[in-house]
Amino acid sequence: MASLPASPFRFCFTLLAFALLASCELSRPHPVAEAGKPVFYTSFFQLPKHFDIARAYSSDEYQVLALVIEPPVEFHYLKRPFELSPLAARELPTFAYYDAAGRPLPGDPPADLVARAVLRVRLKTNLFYGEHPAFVRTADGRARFASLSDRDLDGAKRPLDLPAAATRPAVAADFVYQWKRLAHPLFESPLASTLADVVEGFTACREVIQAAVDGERARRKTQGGALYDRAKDEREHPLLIDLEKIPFSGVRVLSEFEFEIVLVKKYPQLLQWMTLPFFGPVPAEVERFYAQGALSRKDISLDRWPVGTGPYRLVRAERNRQIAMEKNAHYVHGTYPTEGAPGDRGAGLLADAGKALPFIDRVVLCYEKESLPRWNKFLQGWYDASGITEDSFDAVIKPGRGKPELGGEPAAKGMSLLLEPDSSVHYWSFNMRDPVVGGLDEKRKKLRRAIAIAFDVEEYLQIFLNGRGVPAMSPLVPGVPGYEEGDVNPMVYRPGPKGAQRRSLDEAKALLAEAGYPGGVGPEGPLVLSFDGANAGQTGFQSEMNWMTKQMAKLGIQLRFRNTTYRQFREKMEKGTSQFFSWGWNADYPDAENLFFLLYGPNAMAGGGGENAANYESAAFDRGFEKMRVMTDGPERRAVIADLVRIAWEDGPWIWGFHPVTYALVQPWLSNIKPASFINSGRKYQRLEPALREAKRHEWNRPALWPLLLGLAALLGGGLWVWRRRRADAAWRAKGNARA
Amino acid sequence: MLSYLLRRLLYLFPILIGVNLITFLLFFLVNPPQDQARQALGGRNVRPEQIAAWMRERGYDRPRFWNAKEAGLKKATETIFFEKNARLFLLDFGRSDVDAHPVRTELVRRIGPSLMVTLPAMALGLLLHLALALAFARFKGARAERGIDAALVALMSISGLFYIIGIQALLGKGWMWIPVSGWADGLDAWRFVIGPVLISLVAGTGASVRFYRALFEEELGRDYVRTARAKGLPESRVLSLHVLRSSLVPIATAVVAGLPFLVMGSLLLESFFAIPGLGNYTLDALNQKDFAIVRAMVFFGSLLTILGLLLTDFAYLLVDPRIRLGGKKAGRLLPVWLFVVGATLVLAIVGHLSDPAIRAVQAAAPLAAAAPATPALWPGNLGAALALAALILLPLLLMRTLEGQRLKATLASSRLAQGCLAVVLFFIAIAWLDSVRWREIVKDSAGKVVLDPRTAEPARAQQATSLLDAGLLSAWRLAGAPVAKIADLSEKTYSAPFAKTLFVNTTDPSTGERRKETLKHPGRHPMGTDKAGSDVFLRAVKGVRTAVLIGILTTLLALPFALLLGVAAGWYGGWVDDLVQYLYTLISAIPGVLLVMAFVLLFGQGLWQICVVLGLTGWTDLCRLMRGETLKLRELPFIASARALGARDARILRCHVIPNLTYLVLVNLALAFSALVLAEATLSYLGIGVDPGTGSWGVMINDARLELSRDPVVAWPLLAAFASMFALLLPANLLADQIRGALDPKSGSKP
Repeated sequence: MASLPASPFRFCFTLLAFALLASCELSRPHPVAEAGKPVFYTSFFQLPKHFDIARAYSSDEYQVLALVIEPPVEFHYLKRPFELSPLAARELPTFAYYDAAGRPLPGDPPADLVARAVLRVRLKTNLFYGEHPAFVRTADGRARFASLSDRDLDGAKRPLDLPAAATRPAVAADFVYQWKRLAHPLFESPLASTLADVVEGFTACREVIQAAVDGERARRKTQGGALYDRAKDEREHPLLIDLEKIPFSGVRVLSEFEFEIVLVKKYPQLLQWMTLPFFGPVPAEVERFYAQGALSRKDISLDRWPVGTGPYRLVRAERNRQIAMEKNAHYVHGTYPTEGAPGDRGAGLLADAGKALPFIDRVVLCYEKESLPRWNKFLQGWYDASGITEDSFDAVIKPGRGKPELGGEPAAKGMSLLLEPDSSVHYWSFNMRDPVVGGLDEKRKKLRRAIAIAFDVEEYLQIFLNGRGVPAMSPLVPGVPGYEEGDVNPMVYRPGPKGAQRRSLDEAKALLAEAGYPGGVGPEGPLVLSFDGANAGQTGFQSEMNWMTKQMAKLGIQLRFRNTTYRQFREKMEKGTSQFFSWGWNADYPDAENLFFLLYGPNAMAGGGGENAANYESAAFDRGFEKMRVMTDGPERRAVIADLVRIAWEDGPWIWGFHPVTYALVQPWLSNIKPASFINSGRKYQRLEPALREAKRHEWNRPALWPLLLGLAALLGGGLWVWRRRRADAAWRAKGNARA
Repeated sequence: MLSYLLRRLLYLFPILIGVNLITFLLFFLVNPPQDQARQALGGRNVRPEQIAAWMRERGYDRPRFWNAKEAGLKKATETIFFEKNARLFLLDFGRSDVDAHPVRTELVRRIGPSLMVTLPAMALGLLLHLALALAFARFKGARAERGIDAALVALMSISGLFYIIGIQALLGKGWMWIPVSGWADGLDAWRFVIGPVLISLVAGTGASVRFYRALFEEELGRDYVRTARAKGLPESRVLSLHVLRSSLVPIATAVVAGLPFLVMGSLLLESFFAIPGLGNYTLDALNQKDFAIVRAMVFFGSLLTILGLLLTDFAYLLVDPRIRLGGKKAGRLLPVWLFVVGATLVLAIVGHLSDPAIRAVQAAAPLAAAAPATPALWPGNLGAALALAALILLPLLLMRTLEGQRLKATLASSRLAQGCLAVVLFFIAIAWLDSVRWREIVKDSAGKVVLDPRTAEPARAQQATSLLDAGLLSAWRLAGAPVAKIADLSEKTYSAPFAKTLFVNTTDPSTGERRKETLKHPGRHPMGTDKAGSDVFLRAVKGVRTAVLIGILTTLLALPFALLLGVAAGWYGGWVDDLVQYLYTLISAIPGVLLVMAFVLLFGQGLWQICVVLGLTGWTDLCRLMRGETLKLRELPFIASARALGARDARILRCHVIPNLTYLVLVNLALAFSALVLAEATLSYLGIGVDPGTGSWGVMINDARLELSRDPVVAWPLLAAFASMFALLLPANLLADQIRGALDPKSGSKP
């Protein structure tokens, strides 16, 4: 009996002591061993599919690849508008043009004269790959890990688990090798169709590779006999075509550190494309290394473990859990930029000018699908950077006028706010082939114009994005040469002394009447338009639908929703049977060509499967586009762009929608941050103070003890009550027994 | 016994093939390889040649079931179905379509984390819920009983999402006891497991405790309990020794049915807590349209389901020695097996022939949607009239039966029952009022009637108006609100209940200032307004119809299936049992989401489609319960007596077996009803719920996901949906309890 009262006390004491000791460690989601080290933590919520640079084509993949792979050129980290600067290349490559007779054309010749364009790339000589077993050689110069068996790989999950790794400098042949991989039909590169149109010999190279693949497969099939199982065989013995032996007339090695690319027409955008990881180097021995059955069986492949000359190398690649990168020990050539945009020096962005990169030792990306835990962990200091979702906007951004200011918990914790204009445009579009809303005649133009005025994009931004966006005036996104700040679409806005104002509803109604639908009623009865989409289940879509209905109702137009599955929607789009829908585009590189082609006739989605979802087709616009596309940036090209914008305004195939603005939050221990939507490699310039971070995390994550004490008190109280009841019961029973 | 086991195992193959076939067909229908290719290739800059190449590379360019171009056996083997599915039977799960990782490696890696969450959750849940239910049964009649009952129903009416977000925020963010989310390898994972386990425990409490308690109460009414009590056995021993053990058959049915979910993990929990388990894996595969993974997971899941069902049977033997599994007409193995194989073959042929039919339906679907349909009256009104007639006739018919008389007596004697019935009828009345609809005549801004130039008749609005809308509008007008139509009652965006200003800051376009605007109808929104400014009270009221219809129609569809098949299987055993098991295993092993998606694809999105598909799939659980209980009843003395007296099967079933099952049916229906309303929310989350124009609590709950994560929190739309659900579910559950008491055959036949 004596020990009974002691044990709950001991229990409580242990618990309490444990809780106190554990302090912030209880809620720490990262390994304790990494505390106090310059390790950058952030999250991702869309699964990267490929790390093979021939295939990767999404921002989720690029936030890893841009740190591992170095293509010939990049966008300058600080300068705005965006400016190309050399990365793997020694200097910025320039095009040399030749006419049909092979004579050189000086300067920037008109496109119709150009029959050949040559881009010569001279590489830096100190680009070293991150250490990898594929580079390890035996004494006689052969690859050491060329014939791995399952036993060699016992317990290995990554290529880095092999006993040795080495490095070597990147050479021109590696870059040319990757060009051939872009043409390789089995790699399904998303850029293949674009390159096939402009690069000499691309299609021929593709065909040669395809023939080699078919030949090898046929050989294996005959060898394998009747029971041959291709999928299994290719898993056991991955198909490897010796690309070094495949000729590619358009891309040639000139010397150890120099190669050239030959185009069949003028295509200045190629240089901008070359900022993407597609154009980084791939050493042939690395591909040979991965083509071993033992590795393939373990799912160790180039698509999982890229090798590059960038500041980091991949050390963990569980793509639906965690991705981690470590400093490339042989990275020597990168330094922090010494010049920037005006104001950068004042903002402290040039404090590290000229210093060797990178500053952060390890970058860890955690898979986090839901926005709420993501945001909470950022506020607790477990993630180092975060966006502001529209949900937390009101708690974070102070009311008032002028530039948005940080308030609430993040401001109290010393975080800072960055505004980052997005490189995308979101719009509502009419199907220009639709008999009611499409077409280029005056009446239909007026109908579309009336709707565009009634569709209060500013209100949409307020309600659905907390104002985190700017109304779009044309497809051009901010930051693209040709985008003019303050330019307004005169069809929808009326310029005034206090800035442009949306035209009045009366004007819209008048236009609608002129279009043949006074009060929303036309010759066929009341006007009913159909919104096509596949977003019925999207959380919050009902609100959006209500809002759109309200906009149309302002003009007396009834809006019907034809919601289908994504496939049916896609089919409608491809057949051109939709009427009104919303769409979006994220620019690949900051050039008007990559945006105006959304309105280029031959690029129509219906029939051709292009990206012109509106199926807009205007001879004047197409002519202008074809001219603009091959011009080099300058006043002349800007004038053509302005013309194109005017034509688009006049015809109004879209309701121009908006460009989202990303609001990003940064912890107080991070510096050297400049937001840019076209730059994915920003991490290599950033700096982190681990001591400050650890101190703040301790301060922000003290577990609450009172609920525990309260619970214990309740437990004790309850126990006491039960004990007393029992005693009273026993006494009563004893009394009864005594009486009996 | 051995022959039974053997037979079950033999069925494994046709069932697996059947499941495979159906999943295959459905997935191809919902998500053909072209879509997959487009998704995998990134959706932009994709040319048709690339799509063709992608399909060729993964073998999707072959025919589905029958390759007419090949010769001999290759006609069947050189097909997608054979190529992709035959391997599964060798447990070769192949590689992901999207990024070619081996599925089996990932599967093995991910089972651990899933089990680390689900095993403790299930074990602790079973203990806790049984203990609570026993305590609840022990203190029956105590003052607190009604309160606890209401609390349990309240727990049931809350969406799982709410528990997840709430507990995660409280423990992770508020008190910082656990990491908000994440995972660690090895034993360090314990910190990451606490939150999810706790949530599973709390979220399951309402339904489980109510279910177990109903089982215990049923047993408490039996003779042996009276005997035990009379002999002076303490109540605690009566409960633990006798009642608990006798209720184990339905408990085992319910628990073992959950076994596959142990392994497959919980989709939402794993997603919110970033747990690298199988649930997360499956969800990602569905989102990425990775057929290879989905196929593997479905196969794995159905294998587990089938094994689980087999286990259930053995669990019966373990918990109730009276049960015999062989059945009366056991033995005829071959013909049944042939039949099952035949059925599977027919499925394959139908699948093969369905191609042109499906294409035709799909081609017609957009056309049907495009055809303008603007009759003045709404076709659904016929249904409303029928429903009214049924509502009037049903009680009249019921009064002629003995059960009806007993119900009437119960109602007359219990105030509670009367109140509950009144509330339920009130909800049904709202649903009915909302079902009588017409299209308003269009008027222009001057108030003049607009004529349709084609017919010279007044033009009609696209949107239908219901009696309920009209009533609400007049009510608002009487209250002095200056509105001409319901839509006018909206604000710009969020506003709190009875607030004077908007809830959020908006920018004034003329001054550029961010501040809170004043409302157009201040103080007139009792439940506030939602994101697009619609009145939440109106939305909640409009959701009644969806909830009531889904609850009633689905039940009407599922009940006969469940009852007839379940009782037949349990009673006759043998080949009847085999067939019924084949059917429900087939249906329960196919992922419901796929089935609903395919159905929606073929028949469009809408309320009745949801009801039909939920009804067609929803009978399996009840059916299994019925079968288990019948297996038990079959061996009881009163059945033997009836048989000895010469009663025929039909009579025994009608007069003795089915009445003894009513309690299970009623408890289950009451529980299923809330589950159905919440299921609608899940379907909305997946984009296949009711069509977006229809009001529904499910959509409100689903939208709340974003609103709950707002800071400051916008809680009122969720609270409104929750309050409406609670207001319907509490009386419905209490009423079901009362009816159960009235219909209990053991309570004597006093009318």
